[in-house]
Amino acid sequence: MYIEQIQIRKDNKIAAMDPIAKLWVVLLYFVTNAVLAGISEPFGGYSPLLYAWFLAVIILAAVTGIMKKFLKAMGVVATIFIIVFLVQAFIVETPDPEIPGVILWRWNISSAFHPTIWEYGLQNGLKLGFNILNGASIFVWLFQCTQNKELSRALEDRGMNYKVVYVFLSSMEMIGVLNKKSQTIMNAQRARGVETEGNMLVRAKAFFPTMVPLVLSSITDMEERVLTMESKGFNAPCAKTHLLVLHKSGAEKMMIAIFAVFFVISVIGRVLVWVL
Amino acid sequence: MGAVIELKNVSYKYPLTDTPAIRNFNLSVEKGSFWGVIGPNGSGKTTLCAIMRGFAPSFYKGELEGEVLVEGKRIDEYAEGELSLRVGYVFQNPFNQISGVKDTVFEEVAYGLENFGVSTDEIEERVIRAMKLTDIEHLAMKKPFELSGGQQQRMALASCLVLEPDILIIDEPTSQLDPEGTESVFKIIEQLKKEKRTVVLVEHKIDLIAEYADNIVVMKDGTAIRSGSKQEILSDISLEAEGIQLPQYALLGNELIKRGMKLDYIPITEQQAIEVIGKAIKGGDC
Repeated sequence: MYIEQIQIRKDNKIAAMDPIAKLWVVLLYFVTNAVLAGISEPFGGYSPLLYAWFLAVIILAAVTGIMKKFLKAMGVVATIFIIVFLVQAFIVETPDPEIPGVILWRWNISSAFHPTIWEYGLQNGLKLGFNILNGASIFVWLFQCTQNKELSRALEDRGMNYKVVYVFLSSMEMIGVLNKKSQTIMNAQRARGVETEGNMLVRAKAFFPTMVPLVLSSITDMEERVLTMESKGFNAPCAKTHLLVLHKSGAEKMMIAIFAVFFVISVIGRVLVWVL
Repeated sequence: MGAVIELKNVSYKYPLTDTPAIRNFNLSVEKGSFWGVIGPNGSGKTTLCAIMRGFAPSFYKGELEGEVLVEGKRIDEYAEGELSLRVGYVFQNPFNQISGVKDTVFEEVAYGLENFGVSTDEIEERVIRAMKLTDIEHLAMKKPFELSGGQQQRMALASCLVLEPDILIIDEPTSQLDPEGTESVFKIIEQLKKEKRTVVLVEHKIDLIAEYADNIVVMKDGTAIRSGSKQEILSDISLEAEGIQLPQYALLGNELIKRGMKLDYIPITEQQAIEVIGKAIKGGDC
């Protein structure tokens, strides 16, 4: 009755894929990304194939049926992308100090201040930005369509040590718990007169009175948690039972094949650019 | 009935300390008995529990002298994990007893059985039984971290009871709970007593100890200054001089005797107080 209720059911075949197959997709996406990042010579230093590769994750998120969640989670990544892109485009002039940088656009506000977009900076900013964007977005896809316990269960099935799996899973679960605890500590410190709201300096001052109790209490709590795990037979030298059962959705081979094809094509393209 | 836990002249020092936390301690816990451990803060109650469960010295390290026997076998001779099935342990802080890797109360309670490779059918059956005993079945699909302190402590008790240990060590289970949470935990303890389980309970709420325990051990500075039946120990007013709080009914009884009332014995529980004082009043002994 309850064991039935705790099973994970997904209607979407790609979302319901075996987590290890999803990890293969992530790996193939990553290596393809690395290969595509190197194809810039035929495009005058730009890497349009790398930029286009981001569309693959967007399509993947759409067919997995998690578009809304995916876009919401991408907010932070997009911010990092914009910062990296702007810093590179406006600051990095040239790879060689002896060769003057190519100006793409300049706003002559005054002789002392004239924001400039440099060609090399733009190329570099786009390359670096899309590497970050693509790398992070494929992980966002993975974690938006896979529960931590699915992933850890699959890893344990494939022979990963149960202690490593525990560390991974408990770390992921504890993020929310520690966040809640830090809020409680912050409220307590505020009640004692520590200022936690205001400008950056005020917040920085509040950082230590909040972090020190959080870190220390987490360390002391750990002892009791270790003993609790021992009481629950965590180290019992016997085969463990798993209540969560993972099923294959049938889309695993197809998805791995699609990304493997992309990888092979990208390698061929890279070799052709290199040879020709 | 034979002793299930025996401590023979046990002394224990934590690492990097010179003063023993437990000194020359002797205790024999009989099967099916209910022991209450009382004493001021720092008297060694939690250390005693850790020794009886084998956490000291195996986890805490330090030096242990003397002999600790669980069901007649030296505690250090038990294989890893084996003690978990024999001696259950419930800690003070319910929050720290959550594994942090399970999404529901049902899974959390089942975790110990998963670790011991129990079949899924048996797990379901035993978890439901443990949840019913601790009155948390209605919370089965809730997230463990979203429960109240009292509910979390009941879940911790269920996680312990599901392994069906022969002995239960419960260390101040209500120290962080509100009166409602305390009451709900003691309802379970009452049930354990009815089932004749072997329980060692550390608790500061002396009236509750008086209600449930059969025997008491009084600790101070790492030694047992008194041990015996609860009636004998908790009615002894001289313990107050040692900094041990007595049940309010025992204080009342002692005060009434001091003022000239003739009581058959000094009451330590509400029921006893009603009985013995009522009898004295009816008999005109006041």
